[in-house]
Amino acid sequence: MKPVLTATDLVVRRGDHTLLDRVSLALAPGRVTAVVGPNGAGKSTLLRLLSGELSPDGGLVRFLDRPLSAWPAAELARHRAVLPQESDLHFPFRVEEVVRLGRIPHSGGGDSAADHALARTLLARVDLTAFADRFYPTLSGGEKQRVHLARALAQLQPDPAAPPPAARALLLDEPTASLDLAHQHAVLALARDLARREHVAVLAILHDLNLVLAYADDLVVLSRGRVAASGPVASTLAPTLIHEVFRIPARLIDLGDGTPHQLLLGPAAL
Amino acid sequence: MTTPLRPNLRRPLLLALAAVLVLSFAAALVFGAASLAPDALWLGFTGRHAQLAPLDHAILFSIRLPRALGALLVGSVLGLCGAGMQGLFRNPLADPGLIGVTGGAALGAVLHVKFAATTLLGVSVFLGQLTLPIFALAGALFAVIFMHRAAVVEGRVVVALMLLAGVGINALAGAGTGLVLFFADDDQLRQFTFWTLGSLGQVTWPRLAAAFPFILPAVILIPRHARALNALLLGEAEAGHLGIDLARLKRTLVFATAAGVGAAVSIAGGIGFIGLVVPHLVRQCFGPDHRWLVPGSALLGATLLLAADLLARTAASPAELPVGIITAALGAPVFFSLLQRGRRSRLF
Repeated sequence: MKPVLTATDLVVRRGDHTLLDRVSLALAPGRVTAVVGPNGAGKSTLLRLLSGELSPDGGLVRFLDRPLSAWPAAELARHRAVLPQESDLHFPFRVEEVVRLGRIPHSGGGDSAADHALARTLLARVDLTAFADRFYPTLSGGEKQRVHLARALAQLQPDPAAPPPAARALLLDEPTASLDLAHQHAVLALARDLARREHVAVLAILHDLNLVLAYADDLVVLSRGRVAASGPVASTLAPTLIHEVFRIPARLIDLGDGTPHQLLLGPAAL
Repeated sequence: MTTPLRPNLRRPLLLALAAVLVLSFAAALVFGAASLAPDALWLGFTGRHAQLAPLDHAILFSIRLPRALGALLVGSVLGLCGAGMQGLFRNPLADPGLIGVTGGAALGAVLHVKFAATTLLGVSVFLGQLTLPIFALAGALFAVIFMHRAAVVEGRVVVALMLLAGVGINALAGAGTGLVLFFADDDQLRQFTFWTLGSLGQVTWPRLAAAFPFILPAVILIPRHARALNALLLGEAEAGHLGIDLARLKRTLVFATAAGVGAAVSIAGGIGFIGLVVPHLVRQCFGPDHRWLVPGSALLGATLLLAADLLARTAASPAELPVGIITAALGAPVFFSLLQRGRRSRLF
């Protein structure tokens, strides 16, 4: 399958530091790619390059066949959405209005009856139906993050008045960071669903390696600005690699019943 | 926190605001040191000038009408620019006066009065009038660009930096204005109050005409970018992800607000707090959606300044209070309540 988003030899320098050193990856349609790595490994910088927010000092990011810089901003926005780690929105929008902001790149602009209906549907998918008319600043951190997920999903919804997009990508920056356990699983299940059913290429920065095992198809391990390993999760996420990169002991457990492997980490793995 | 109105009440409220504006405009024409009979308006604006007493005619068309139009334009453009700047900085404290843009424009205007006007007036009276808003715009533009450089760090607005940089610019612009006027003659010295506190007492038809083109960018461009401003409230990166051309949006907003504030200052000096109070009140009723906030701020700004000027003219009649004192008396409490709220929601 032709990759949706391709990064080739990305380099980012800040003064004497090299934040990213020849990082390459490819996001395939219909697959969830997890990016893991210790703090300061360059995960968020990588995501900012992939979204086009930042330009690399070397290397190239392509969406389909075109470099990001060759895409008109509004057209690119109809093909890929980004869930930020946190958003500093302080104004009293209603939750449902925030979701409709995701329709700004589309022809309805967020005001059409279809956009209103879409916002309600997506709020239901992130388990926020009862919050539609609440004011956004009154929500908790985890609720806010789910509102923005619904907004990103609204942005990715194809415009009925336009030709269908050739491919779509969803970039998630630590989507589980402020979520409770149930919603961590719900959000990643939703992302995987989107990949399987609608062939969206999903990238998620994650910290919990057991969530990676449960929901991701492919894995990119970053360490000090370089790709330490990449490939399908099952064959990439080895205990030796985890020990090398994260400096903690790890043991893989196969329950033998066909479910994804589990990781024991830290003292439990000794 | 008071909560915005239900969405279906926005349209009726906007219409009500427009109606109140029309009434305030009529009141500003009728009332004053010498009140006109209400039917004077009727006669004056239905083409029956001849039936007006000559004195009433002069009061209406040479004094009240330009002054009321000045209040209308300045009030609405300050409301618009306040909404635009608060959108640009994504913070309700970004008032053109507080963050030094009005001060910058006033310094530009004073430099023009001191140095350029006499030279240019020699060439042509019209040229002398026409260049005043250009100087005010230049001063405002410097202030906005400096402010944006100072306050925005990696796409996030640092509110403390913004307010502190505003203190700095205001001090600098105030000192510059004072210095220029100190070396001026007595008459120009008396204008210091005008440029720092503002007044609509010096509005004339030529001054209005000269400033009018510079009001247009704010009136046309800020409403046109309402949707992009909504996206910008999410953050600069997030607006970029939604397909907003950030660099262009920011350039447009910086230019439109600087031109608007420059034009307002060239008409009425440094009237403060309208750009703070008005979008704040409108947001309380309409919510933060700029498609309502921007027109609402234009209407309420005009209404508020017309009312404040009417009060300034009549409260101590026949003497006149500087209108800036009244807008500051309205604005300072709002400013402090915003600070209080910001502290509670950890905006700083």
